[in-house]
Amino acid sequence: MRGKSSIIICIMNFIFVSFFIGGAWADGTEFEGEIEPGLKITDYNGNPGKVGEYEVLNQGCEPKVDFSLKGSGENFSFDASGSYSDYDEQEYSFDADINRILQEEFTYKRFQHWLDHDSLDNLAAVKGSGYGPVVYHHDLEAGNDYIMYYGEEKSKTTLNLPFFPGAQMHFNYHRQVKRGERQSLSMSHCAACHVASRGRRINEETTDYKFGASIKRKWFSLLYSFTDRDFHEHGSAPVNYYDEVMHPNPAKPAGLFDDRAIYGNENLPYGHVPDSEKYIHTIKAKSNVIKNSVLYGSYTRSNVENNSNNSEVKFDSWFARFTNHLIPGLVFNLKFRYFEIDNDDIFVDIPEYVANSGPNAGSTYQDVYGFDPDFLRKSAMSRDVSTFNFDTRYRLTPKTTLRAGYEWEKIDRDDYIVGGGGEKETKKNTVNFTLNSKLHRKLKARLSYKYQKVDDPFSNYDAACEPANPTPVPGSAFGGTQYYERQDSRTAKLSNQPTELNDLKFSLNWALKSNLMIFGNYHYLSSDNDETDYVEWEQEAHMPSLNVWYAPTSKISLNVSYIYNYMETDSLACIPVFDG
Amino acid sequence: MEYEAKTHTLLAALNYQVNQKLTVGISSSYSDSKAKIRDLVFDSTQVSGTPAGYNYDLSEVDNYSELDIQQLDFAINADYRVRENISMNIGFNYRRYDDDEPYLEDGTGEAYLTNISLLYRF
Repeated sequence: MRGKSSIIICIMNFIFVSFFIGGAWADGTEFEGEIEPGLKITDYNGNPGKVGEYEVLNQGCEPKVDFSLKGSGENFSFDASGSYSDYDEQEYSFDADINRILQEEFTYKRFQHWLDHDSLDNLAAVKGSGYGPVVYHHDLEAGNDYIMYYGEEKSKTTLNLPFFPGAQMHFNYHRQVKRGERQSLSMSHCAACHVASRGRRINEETTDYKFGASIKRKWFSLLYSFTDRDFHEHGSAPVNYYDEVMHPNPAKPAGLFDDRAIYGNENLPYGHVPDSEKYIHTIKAKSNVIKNSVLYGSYTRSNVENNSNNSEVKFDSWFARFTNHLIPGLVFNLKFRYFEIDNDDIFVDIPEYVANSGPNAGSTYQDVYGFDPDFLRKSAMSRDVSTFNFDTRYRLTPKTTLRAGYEWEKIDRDDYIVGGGGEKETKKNTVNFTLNSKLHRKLKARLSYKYQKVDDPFSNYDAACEPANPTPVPGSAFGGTQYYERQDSRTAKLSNQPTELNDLKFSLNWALKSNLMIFGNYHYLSSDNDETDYVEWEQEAHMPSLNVWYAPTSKISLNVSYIYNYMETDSLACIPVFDG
Repeated sequence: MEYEAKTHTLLAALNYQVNQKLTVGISSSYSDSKAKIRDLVFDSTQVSGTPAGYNYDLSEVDNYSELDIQQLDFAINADYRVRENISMNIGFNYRRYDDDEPYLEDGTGEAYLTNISLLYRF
């Protein structure tokens, strides 16, 4: 079906090209174009993945060609261009217009992306001895290059209905394929952590069809569109051999820990990527029926379905904006947005096995400790978000404009706790202003500032830090504190989202002479979260930059820039201390 | 724990129309990026007693977090108009990536790219 669709798109574009070429000779169409054949000579040393991250670097000499062609006649015009230097590095575009009734924009491109290959050496950063806290790691494909190849086709067709002025029909097509291999990691646990790395074949295809219709009248415009998206992973999931489950002490009998893991001593697939489908309905309306005002509204409904387990994510969004410029020099906008996301709950059923030796022989873990491993996965994604925004722009003087705004936002989550007392709501209050001024005929300045205060930002509640070791029994995994009790006793809330944010930007454009200009910018960002436990999360950034443009003669131009980025983050690091 | 990242970037470009037929362009960018976890302090007061077989060594954590990367991109390009509708272009591009503290893998490498082309307008 997808192959046929691609063929249909190609045929449509062929018809377009044939029509123009055929019609051109008959109609005396004027052409202009250029063609640029050439050679690309490439050599490299060391790792090509960073010096040519998005390029094909084949050592040696290769041909390449760029071209463009434009044509226009009495009732039509077209513009085509292309570039080819390798099968995985090519790009084409074609735009056409027939009598302003039928318009087509088509692009096709391919490129490649070098991906990182983690040697896993960093897993040795924390290491112990004996059967202590060691993370074993094996890169089973050391030295392999992981590269992703992308291909993308986009087509946008617009039909202006000649018998219904102002009415349009739209048909958009988009297909993206990703092929190649990327690194994938799997982990066995018990007796010790064992991380294994191998390549994973990727063969993804995403296809979008979008149909729509719109109408424009003097007082209003209306648009409706429907998008259907299919995602398919043709590649199979990689398979890993998971280590045999055993006690950390190899002298202990086999089968002692068989009740503590759900797989071991077997080959199993991992990292399965499910196929999915998505549809989107969108309605947009705009009206200027009220004098000196524009009223805009939109509604979007989408649904994503995981084809492996039929779980769904539903999304509904309403947006409204009112703009008024009745008072000379004053423009204000009122905006309101509400959206809700509902991600299905998923019941996770964990197989429970019995221990085959030792004190728990013949019993499951739940039989002995009362811990039920099955759980209902509720999603942090499910939430209602309301946003109200007011901003105004006023011309203080003929050369100075002030823009100020306020935004209130509430995020109400269905299940996910972000604060004490089971709090699931985040509230944000933001104020901002921007001052634009032409201080002098050669000097322009811009100053903007944003302050944000947030109650209960997104965080991981009780995510880290156990209290002083809760009644352990050294050397015994059976009678002492269990891992799930340790995890349940964690007390520290972690977050990388601020409760308070200050964002200051300043820029200056100075035309010293007609051939000398200086641009200066400074951006300061400060965020902190005083709701995290033990240590406040803080982040501070300074980003100054300076740019000088100088043209000593009409034939020489020089541009020099310096940019500095500094960022410092303070956070709590809590490392769980346990063996096994 | 503190994580600090710094990047200095310098960009320069010169365009010179030597005569009616020849235009030369030179551009270059250089960036120096460094990042590191600092003050990773292990608070032993949070643990009462030593677990059996315990032997943590956290001394290399800050080394593994360290990034130290320099990137250079230098390009020179000459465009010569042979005729009104024919131009010849020659360009050379040198790129260098120095990874002094590899994290995932050593990305150190350099590339030399030369382009020669003939443009025909019709």
